[in-house]
Amino acid sequence: MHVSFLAWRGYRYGKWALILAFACLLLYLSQIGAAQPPNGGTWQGYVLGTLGALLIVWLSLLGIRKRSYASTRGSVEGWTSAHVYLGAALLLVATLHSDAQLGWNVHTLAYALMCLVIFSGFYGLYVYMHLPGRLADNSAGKARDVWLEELAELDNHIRDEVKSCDAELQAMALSALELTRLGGSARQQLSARDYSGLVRPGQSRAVANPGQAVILGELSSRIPDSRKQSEAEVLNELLSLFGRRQLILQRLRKDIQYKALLKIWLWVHIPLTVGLLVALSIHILSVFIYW
Amino acid sequence: MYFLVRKLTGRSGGEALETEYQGDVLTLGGVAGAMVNLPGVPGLLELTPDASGARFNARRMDVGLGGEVTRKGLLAPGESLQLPGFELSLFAPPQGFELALQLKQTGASKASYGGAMELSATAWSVRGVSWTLALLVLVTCLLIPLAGLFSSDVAQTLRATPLPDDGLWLSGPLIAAHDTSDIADDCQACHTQAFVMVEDGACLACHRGMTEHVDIAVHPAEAFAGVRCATCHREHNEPQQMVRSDNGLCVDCHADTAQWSGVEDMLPVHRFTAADHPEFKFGLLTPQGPGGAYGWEVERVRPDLSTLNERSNLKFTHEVHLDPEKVRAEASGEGLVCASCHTLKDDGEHFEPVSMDQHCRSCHTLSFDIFDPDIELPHGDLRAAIVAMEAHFIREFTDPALRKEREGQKPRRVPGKRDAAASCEGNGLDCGRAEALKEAEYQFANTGCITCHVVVDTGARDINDRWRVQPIRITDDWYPHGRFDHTSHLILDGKFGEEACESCHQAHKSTESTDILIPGRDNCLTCHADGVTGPALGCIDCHIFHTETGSVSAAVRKVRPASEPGAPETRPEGD
Repeated sequence: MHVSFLAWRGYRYGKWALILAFACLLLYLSQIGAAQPPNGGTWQGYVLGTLGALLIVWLSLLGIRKRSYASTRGSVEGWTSAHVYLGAALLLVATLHSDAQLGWNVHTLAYALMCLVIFSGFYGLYVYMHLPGRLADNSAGKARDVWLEELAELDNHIRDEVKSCDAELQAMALSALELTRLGGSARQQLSARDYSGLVRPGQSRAVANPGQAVILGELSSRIPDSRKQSEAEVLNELLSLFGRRQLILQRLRKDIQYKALLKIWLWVHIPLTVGLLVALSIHILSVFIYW
Repeated sequence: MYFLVRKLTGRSGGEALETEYQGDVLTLGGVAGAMVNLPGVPGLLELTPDASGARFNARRMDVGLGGEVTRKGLLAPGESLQLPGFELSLFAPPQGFELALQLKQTGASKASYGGAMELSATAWSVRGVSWTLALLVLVTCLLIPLAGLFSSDVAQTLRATPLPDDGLWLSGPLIAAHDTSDIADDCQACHTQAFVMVEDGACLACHRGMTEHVDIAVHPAEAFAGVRCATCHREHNEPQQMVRSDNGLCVDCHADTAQWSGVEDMLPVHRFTAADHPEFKFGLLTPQGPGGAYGWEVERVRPDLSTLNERSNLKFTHEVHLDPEKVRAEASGEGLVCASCHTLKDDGEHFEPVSMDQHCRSCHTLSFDIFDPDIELPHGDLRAAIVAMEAHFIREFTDPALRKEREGQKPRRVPGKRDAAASCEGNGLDCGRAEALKEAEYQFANTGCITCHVVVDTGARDINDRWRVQPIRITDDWYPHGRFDHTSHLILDGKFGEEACESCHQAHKSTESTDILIPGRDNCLTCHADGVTGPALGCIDCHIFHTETGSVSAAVRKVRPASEPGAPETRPEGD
């Protein structure tokens, strides 16, 4: 049975993180009544800060470890489990290190970047736990390329079929194929909005055709008016083809959206981690420049 | 430039669809912006006509030419270029066209509508964003502020403009006293050298009168070697607090006084409890020589009220003065209270000295002639008092009119005063001197000066040498190494005013001026025992580190006066 990486080895790293958090809390509390108020400059503050910096560097190494396929230093699953729990614990370690003293300075910048990295990680954890199921349901066991090939077949079929229709319908149907939109910018991928269009006969500008609704409406409205049975059959066939097309496009849009949602947090998590590593280095360097 | 593109379509490629394009370069591919849309092709292919065919340049994908994988090259007529799912070849361009291209689908066609279907195919790349952010942080937060370290002019310019400066490295706010333009705007006012901890010279440049904990001429200073100002006084903390308030400030050393050499009677202290804090030490003024003839010295003694007395040479009883049946204030007619004589100084700890003129004289007048009660002796100067008496009585007995007037009067009797003679046989000078001697004998032996003062009769013949009034010195700082705030103790355990004073100083019961009414440690412990009843006291609630008797820090730490060129600067030890 599949066990979530969170539960890896009986929540081993969850327990480690809890122990770490508790130890850090005790260390922080030991500053009460001491020579200085709690802050990053007491010996406890230095210990917490060193621990936090080491955690940040180690957490960043997950990106390298998961690409090192030949590595024998623990399984990627174990690393990921530890990454999540120790990353969450880091939030407490760094907050205790700073005593939540904020200001417009590089120290707070490092803290803020770290918080953003951690919270984007929480989002990533959430989507990794909830989206793959929906993604699998949506793709119905077929890969995206298979759906795209089926869609290309459908489009070819439509092109063949529409040849026997009048020029107006032919132009309209072909423009619906031509002006179908899938994916696009990051925002368009994430929103899954249908920006497809089509050109109505006699018009030069395209109109919106979300969910192929306009062409489907046109086809279904023509069926009762068809003069020959063969014409009605062609229209019926086209209606069925565009209907199938609508469904596949909808699936693909959802597929693109789910995959984008699964990955978008990495666009925040990774660059901010890199920014954090730089800010952290400056934070450490600057407190010793002005010791 | 015109291009002709022939697409072989139909189920078996048996039909051809020709399209014309115009431009400098012909672009083909599955990405947005391609002139010829090739569904499923991941990149973009650019074709430029050449004398011997067409030059091609593939972006973000590889293409195959003659069995080799490449990205750039020349496509000659008769050759075919392999793209994912498509095959390209040239054919002779018809009239008016620079290039003619035939396209044949080779693989299963995947639908493509121009839009990217992966986030990685959009304009944002994780790597690009990462580099941008890293460089932005590096330049803004390190490189630009760092330039100020090498040139103070650059630093000033950065601070004066919206450009990032070393203020970005500020690790916390300054305390209000340091938050001035000279210091707050210039990190290097204190951080004089990069990667070197703030030096004492930076502090002592302003805090010139600061003293050490001890006088190093008396106490060995080794214990303080290596202790910087900033060892205890840390800036940029929140809450802003420059003074250490923890007991460690004192007990880190004072808990182990047994190891100290040359320090007598210094008991160990850990905290303020009966077990962990020794009894306080009085700073008792002690007369040197008989009656303080050779002056007074402060003697540090632990209170032992059974044997210890104050030796102020004053005769006084609090019990009588605080009894309204016996003594009342002349102005109000009310009984005396503590505040009638004791006025708190501004420091809240000590009291203004009690003086004869201000506090005693209204009752204890120094009149000496019952015929002329308005005339009083001068106070505080024995010689002046004798001269005043002699002058007065000689004038009285040498004035014929006055002498005649007095001869007609009977001798007067006034309680507490000498029976003054109204007449005298003899010349005025002798009579006056005799009367002055009688009055002096009365003042120094019966009632008058002797009431409050200790007077020694030397037996000398000369009236000026006959008596010696012992000087009065009242201890005014009983605990010179402790601090106490009377103001905050005026409301004490629900008691106010007199009751509050009496709860520590039992003046009503004091019958002797030698009684010491100053409470000791146990009195404080009734409320302040650590963690027992009232608020616990830390060391610095009662003690200060930089004592008045300590050596001047600027001298001990060998810091040049700020007025010297190049100051502040700390010279190396042994300089």
